[in-house]
Amino acid sequence: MRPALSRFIGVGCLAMALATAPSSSSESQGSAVRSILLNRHIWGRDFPAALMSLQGWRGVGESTVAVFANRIVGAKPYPQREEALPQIKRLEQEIAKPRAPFKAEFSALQNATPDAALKVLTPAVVRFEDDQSHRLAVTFANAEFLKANLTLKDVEAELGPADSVTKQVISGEGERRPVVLTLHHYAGGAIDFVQWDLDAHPGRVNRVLLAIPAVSEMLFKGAP
Amino acid sequence: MLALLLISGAGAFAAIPLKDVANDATDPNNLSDTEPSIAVNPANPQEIAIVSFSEGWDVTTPAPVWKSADGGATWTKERLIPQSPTSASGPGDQKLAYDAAGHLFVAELGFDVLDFVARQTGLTNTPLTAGATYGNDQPHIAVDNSSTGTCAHRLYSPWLDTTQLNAHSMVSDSDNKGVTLTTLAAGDNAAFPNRTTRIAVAPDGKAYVVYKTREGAINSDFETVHFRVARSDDCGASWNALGAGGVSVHGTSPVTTYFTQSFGNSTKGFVNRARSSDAWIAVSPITGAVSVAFVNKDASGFAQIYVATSTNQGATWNSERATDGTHNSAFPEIAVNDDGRIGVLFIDYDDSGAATLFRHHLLVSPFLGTQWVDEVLQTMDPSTLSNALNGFIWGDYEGLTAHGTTFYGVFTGESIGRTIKQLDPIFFSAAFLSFNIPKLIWERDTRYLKIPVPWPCLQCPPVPNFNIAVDGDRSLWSVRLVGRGAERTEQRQRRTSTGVTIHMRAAVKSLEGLLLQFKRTERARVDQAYQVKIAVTSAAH
Repeated sequence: MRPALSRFIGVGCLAMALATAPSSSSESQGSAVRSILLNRHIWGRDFPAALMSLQGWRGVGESTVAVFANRIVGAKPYPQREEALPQIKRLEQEIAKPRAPFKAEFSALQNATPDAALKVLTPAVVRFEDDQSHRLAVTFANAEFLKANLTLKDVEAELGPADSVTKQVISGEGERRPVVLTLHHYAGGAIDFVQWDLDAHPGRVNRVLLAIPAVSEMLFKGAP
Repeated sequence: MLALLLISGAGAFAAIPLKDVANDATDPNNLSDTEPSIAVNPANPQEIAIVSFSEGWDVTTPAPVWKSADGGATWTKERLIPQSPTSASGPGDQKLAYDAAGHLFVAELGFDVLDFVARQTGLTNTPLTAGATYGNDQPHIAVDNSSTGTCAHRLYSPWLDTTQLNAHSMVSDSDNKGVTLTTLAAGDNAAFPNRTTRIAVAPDGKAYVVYKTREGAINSDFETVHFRVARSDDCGASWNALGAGGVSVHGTSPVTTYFTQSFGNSTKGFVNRARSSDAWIAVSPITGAVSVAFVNKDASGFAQIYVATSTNQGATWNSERATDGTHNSAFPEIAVNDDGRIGVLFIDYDDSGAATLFRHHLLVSPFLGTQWVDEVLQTMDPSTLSNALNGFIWGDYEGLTAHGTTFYGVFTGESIGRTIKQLDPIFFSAAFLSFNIPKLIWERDTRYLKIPVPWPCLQCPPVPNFNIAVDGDRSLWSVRLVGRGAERTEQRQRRTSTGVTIHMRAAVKSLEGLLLQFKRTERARVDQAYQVKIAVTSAAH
């Protein structure tokens, strides 16, 4: 499903070693990640807070987060709510931990979001409708992580066409229709812009998947 | 646009025209439009509504209903279905109905697995209003449009309660158009889980549901079941009019049906799950006869479509195979028109070639359900279609209904005239010629009717009992009495220089309320009128 992400997880140590001598492909991916993260026409005003929370997500074992317009949701499904509940406090603690600062090229993002913003990110367990699992999520009142009504056309106008496009089918319990996600892979799969077939406006970007290791490596000083 | 069905040869219809409901302008995102449902406005049959899995809803934007105001010739996409009252995503499962006054209703499943009914409160094509949530998986809907009794206008919504250890077939009903609903169990889940709950309402106000009891897996694709019909005579207040759990429509022995993720040949292309839409129910709007279409893998070695019919309000059933025993078949939807013809929309597949080809069929019974004529509506290889999803090609069910003498249907099929070849909702209508006098109140006298059919008919099928064969030309009339005591009707027919004389005699004391029905020959053409003299007498007098 996410070959690029799997590659990063599987060779995490190698990625560290290569940090000082990046290959052309990782350079290319890093450049693409940087370009996407710094784009001013894709993200909402609170997106920097989402980025700052990434190390906290990693601390609770998440490798990918889904950035929605007004919330951030972990990728790890918990079949039972009771399994997820203990993770709320842990996520809160992980997000609050001192973290590595942004690299210099992202300083504008850092300045736009003082650390205090992280303190209002409220963790919760949500019922994730795609697969009816329980997921960790964070949000705060009036959060805007994505530009309002961001469309794929907007993304392509800013970033060009995706590296590749794949579909993910999620079947729920019972006879409910499956959910179909169309993933537009950018930066070698480190960042995916996702269309959701239940969207009232099908051209809209429903969520953006951030591969935490790849994005963190580009974002944070000294990040693995 | 509307198909005028004339019999043109032995066992076949003239081709039924198909209409792609979507086009590049109304479906710019090339959505799959799966699991379609259809309803015809009884107050204005030119108004037809279809739902399919198209755009979703959100707090400000309703989900779409495909609408036609010209009998299906052209279609628009109207954003009518409001977001779930719980703000859950959707639509999930959905089904349409109109009431007798022409108001549109939609039963909807939100992604929180709660149902609601959205009802029309304003003018046509104004957004619907959501009622209270109820239920669980697989909601359907029917409205009592025919009855003038205490159940008139009652809205019924069957659904499956998957929260119980044994899933349970339930029915919620409403006397206020779905604003609020009351729920009662309809199926028997004491021993086996239920599934596939479908509903029909008779003209006398009795409501029927068909459901299945799942009695054990045979293998990864098939299971043993009973298809049972339960009846409510009290507006949904109870569902035991046929006894607890209802009556099996195929007798005491179980039948074999699909429970699979793989209807089709997965080694030769796409497949569709087939787990819950293997039965459907309809009631004759004239006679009240109840018909159930269901799947049964029989001695042919193939899953076949069977049709069971009851003329005594579900107490006993006669079941027969409607398909030809040569291909695996499933997903039956059934409807009955005003002539008493039964229509069945179903899907089979042919995997004899390199790719699995799925075929949508319309079966119609020309003669009181005793002979079936099969029309392949469309053949498709979904693996060649841009938006087809392996495992969920068309979804769990499709749509068939009847109004007057016309069947109206919709299926998810190969697009027609689209820039990108894809799945779209494909509409068809199949109009059958009628006498215009399909019934006559028996008034214990002699009537002369002008029946617009030429005489004689030269290419008629074999003559069944109680049909008219005149002068060896096998022209065919069918006349029958409908009602209690009319089953023992005697009938004599004699050709005259201008038509035919029919004499009927029945062993009943009271003639009140009995109906006299006419069935024309399927091979007749409408271009002349002939006189039929009908004399009805009672053997009891």
